[in-house]
Amino acid sequence: MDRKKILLVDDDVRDVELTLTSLAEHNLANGVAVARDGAEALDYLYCRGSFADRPRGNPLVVFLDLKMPKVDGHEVLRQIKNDPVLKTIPVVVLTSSREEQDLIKSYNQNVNAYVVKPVAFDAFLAAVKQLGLFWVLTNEPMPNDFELN
Amino acid sequence: MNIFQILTPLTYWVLVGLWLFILGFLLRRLWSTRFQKSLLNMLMIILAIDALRTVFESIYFGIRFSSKSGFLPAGIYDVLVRPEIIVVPKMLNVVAAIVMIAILLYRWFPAEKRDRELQERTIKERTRELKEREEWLRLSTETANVAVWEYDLIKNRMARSQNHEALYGLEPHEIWTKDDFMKAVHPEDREFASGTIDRSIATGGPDDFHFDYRTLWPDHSEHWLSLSGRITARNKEGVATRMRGCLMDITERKQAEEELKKSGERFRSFMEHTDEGLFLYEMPGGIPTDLPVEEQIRLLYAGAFVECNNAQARMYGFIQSNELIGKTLMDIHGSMDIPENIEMFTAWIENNYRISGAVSREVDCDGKTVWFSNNINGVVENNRLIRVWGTQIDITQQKLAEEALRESEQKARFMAKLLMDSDQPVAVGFADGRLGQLNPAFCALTGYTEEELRTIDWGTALTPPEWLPMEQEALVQLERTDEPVRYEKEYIRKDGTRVPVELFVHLARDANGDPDYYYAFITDITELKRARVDVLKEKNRLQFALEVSRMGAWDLRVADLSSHRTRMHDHIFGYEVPVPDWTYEIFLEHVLPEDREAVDHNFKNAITRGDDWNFECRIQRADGEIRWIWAVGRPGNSADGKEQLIVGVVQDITERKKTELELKESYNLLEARVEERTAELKLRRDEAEALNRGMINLLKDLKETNQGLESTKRALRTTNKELEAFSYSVSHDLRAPLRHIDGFIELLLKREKDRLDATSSRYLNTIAQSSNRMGRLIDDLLAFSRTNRSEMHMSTVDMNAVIRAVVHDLSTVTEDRRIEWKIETLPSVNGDKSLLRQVWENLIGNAVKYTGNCEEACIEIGTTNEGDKRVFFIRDNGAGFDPQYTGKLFGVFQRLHRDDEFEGTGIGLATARRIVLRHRGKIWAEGKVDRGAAFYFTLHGAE
Repeated sequence: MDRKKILLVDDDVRDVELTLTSLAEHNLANGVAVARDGAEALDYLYCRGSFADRPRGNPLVVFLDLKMPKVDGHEVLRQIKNDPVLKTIPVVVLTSSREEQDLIKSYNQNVNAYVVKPVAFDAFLAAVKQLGLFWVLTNEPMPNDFELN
Repeated sequence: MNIFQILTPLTYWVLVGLWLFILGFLLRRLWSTRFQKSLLNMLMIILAIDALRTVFESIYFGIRFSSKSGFLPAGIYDVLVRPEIIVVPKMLNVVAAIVMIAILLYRWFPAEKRDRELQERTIKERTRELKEREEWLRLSTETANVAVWEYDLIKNRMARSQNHEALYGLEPHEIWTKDDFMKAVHPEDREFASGTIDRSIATGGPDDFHFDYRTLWPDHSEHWLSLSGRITARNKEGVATRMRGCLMDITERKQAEEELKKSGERFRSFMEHTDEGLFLYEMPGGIPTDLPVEEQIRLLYAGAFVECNNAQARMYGFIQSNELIGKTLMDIHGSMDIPENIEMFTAWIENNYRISGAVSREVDCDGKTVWFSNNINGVVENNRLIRVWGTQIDITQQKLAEEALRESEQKARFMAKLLMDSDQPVAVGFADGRLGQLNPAFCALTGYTEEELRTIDWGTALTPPEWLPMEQEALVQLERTDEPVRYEKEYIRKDGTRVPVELFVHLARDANGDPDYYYAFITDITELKRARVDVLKEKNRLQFALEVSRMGAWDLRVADLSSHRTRMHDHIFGYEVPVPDWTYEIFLEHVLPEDREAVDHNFKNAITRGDDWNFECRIQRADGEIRWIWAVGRPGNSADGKEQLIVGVVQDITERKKTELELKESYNLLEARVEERTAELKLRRDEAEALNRGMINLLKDLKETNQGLESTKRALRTTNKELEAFSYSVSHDLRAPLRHIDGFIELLLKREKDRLDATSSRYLNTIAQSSNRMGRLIDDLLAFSRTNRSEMHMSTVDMNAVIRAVVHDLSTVTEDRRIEWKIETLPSVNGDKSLLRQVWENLIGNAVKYTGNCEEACIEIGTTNEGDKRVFFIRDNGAGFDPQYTGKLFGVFQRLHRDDEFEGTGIGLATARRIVLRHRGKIWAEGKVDRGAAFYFTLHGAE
């Protein structure tokens, strides 16, 4: 099984479906791992729990929802950015919220990008496409991160 | 001739020869007992061989007689005895005989020879050994003064070695009988000697006997002999008939034993009487010397005293040595934690189990700490420490003395330091004027350094000449009485000034009792002197005060109520000449009877409670006149603290009393006036108080109102919080379903694109549009609610920059429109930047939207002044509005256009108004339908 390039963290199954659909249009859906809440996301990143046997290596990018049960997106972001190994993974907050407090909090925790999910599907489609193409194909990851881990 | 005719007879003859040899050999060996057994075997072998031969022979003879008798053909025997036939068995026989001889020769003959040689050699050797032994015996018996004897009781004869008589100091005798023996024995030992021997001789007596006895030599020297004997034969009754034994001169041994005994006694005596402890200490099984030192010490502690003298036992608080014997070091010390002892044993082990003069600290049986000096010797055998010999001396007293000495030295040092550190000047002076020991305080007092003081004469340099005779007198008295003297004098300091001092001088005498030196404690009494002068001055001043105020002074001894007083005192009581005795009683008689009780009561209080005795009373003077006096006395102690005194003064106050009475009258008058005024004042005050109360009530009301306000504020804050949480949740949760609706419709459309009819597609598009509109509504609502609750971040805001940014953001909408922008340069304002941007976003956005239908849109932004206020405006030439609805314009969800005319949520202007209000400004609008609209607003900083 290949290493996943994108870790999508979202508790809403509909959002997950829409996002995956968008990515599928650009042949990126195969490289997506899905975590259904913050706790699962951390399990995935630390290769523990149900992800203990996953192929090693960090994803190229994490798409992170904020409002989630158990561990919310802010906490996941905080842990990633405070971990010496994980902190180089780009994290894109992908949320419904345009609230100022969410923006400030995310940027203070060194989020790499903050994208508000547009209500209009074509806009949503465009946003996800851009994100997928940019982070997976355009952006150069941290050298050791993807190749060696 | 046939070869067999020669060979066959030859074989027979050889056989005869061989057998003869064997026979001869056997006969010769027959008597040799040693080989009898082997011979038997040999005979059996010979018999076997012979049996074989007999078989052959019998067969031959059988055949011969059978053929002769005609049982067999006659010729057959002849055939058998033909030489070539008969030679075969005979040759076998020859071979057997030769083998036999070979065996005999090989095995027996050499063995026999060897045997003989051995035997001969043994005999020779034995003989030589015997001779040697005899010689050894002779030599050893003679040199060791041992004689051997054998006594035949029946013949009464004793066979003995040559030196036998020499042991008795006698010449060799011909014969030696029992009588000779008895004579030779020392008379005192005869009885027990013969008794011992007779006991063995008697039936059933012991075979062996042994005893020591003395013999007197002819030269009267006494010698000790030791006799050992054994009964070697007894008759039928069991009585001895023969005995044998040896006799040995043991004089030297006896002497040595005697010596040993004496020295042992001496040693025991020494052991018993010496104060030194002696001991033998053993460890069961010993201690392997290759163990670590700690382990060895541990095993050592488990050993025990095996032997010791009483002195040793006494050191541990016992009386007899047997009380200590069997005790282990652990029993005595209780533990192994006395470091001195462990150190000592360690040194002892490292020094090859020898140490002397080592000090141990131990505990005796009473638990008292004792100190010993030890000499310890360990005995090591086969790498094991077997036992320990040692001596020890109790040095506890010495240790204690050392301790005491050290303490006293410390004390002396401390005292010396005390003296040196003390600010009490101390000095030692010799009669010849030299100064001895002195301390820094003394240097400070005299102003000289210590070195300088060493060179001067204390008698002359330090003391002014006028004080010398007095000092001399004091010192003479000191030498006479040995009582330390105390006197005052002056010192001349180095700078020439004088300092008054008090000396307390002691005399130290030398061993002969002659005066050696003085030592003095010197006190600077400058202050004292000054104090004395001050006291004197004070006294004079007091005297003067008493005189001027015409006061009499007195003091009263509480013990007998007698008193001292000044002349003035008596004068007050009317005596021109002082009375010789004055007591409390006399005083009380002068007091008028009506005052007397109060005065006396006061006096008793003063004595019992220690209060001041302060009173005024009338007295009748000696000349009969009645006067007022005032007296005050204070209880206290006399200067030496021994007597209780009341010290006081007395004054004639008759004149003052008169004045007082007059004053009192005028005071009463005044009092009446004051009362009147007071009543008036009281009235006024009551009025003022009523006013005050009113004020207080008012303040209370105010405070309650404030409290109400405070709680309202709190409630408001809570509501705001809740609102915030609500909007946050709305922002997240309301938008998501909309997105889903839109997304899935979109997917559905895409998927079913070919199958859906136009109406269905339109329905779905409508749903999608609705959800988009709903999304916008939510966004606007959230923005609106944010304007209310967000904090204001005030700063100087560049309005031009804000407008530029907003216009730029709208460029996607305006790019295919023809819009003429007229934007003035605007002044900067003080306000919240993001909120102000929202105002402009809404206003400019509106202007763009409502000019959507114009061919040539024109949007104008600028400021005007209205009075002293700056007014911002935005004007467009768009759809405008009906002025009668102006009031509705800024309400939430209020719209003046249908959605299909101009899209909108009806929140934008409400938001703008809210923000302007938060900046304490005003917003208003002007417009007409299709004639454009204008919006104005002012700003006044934060709310």
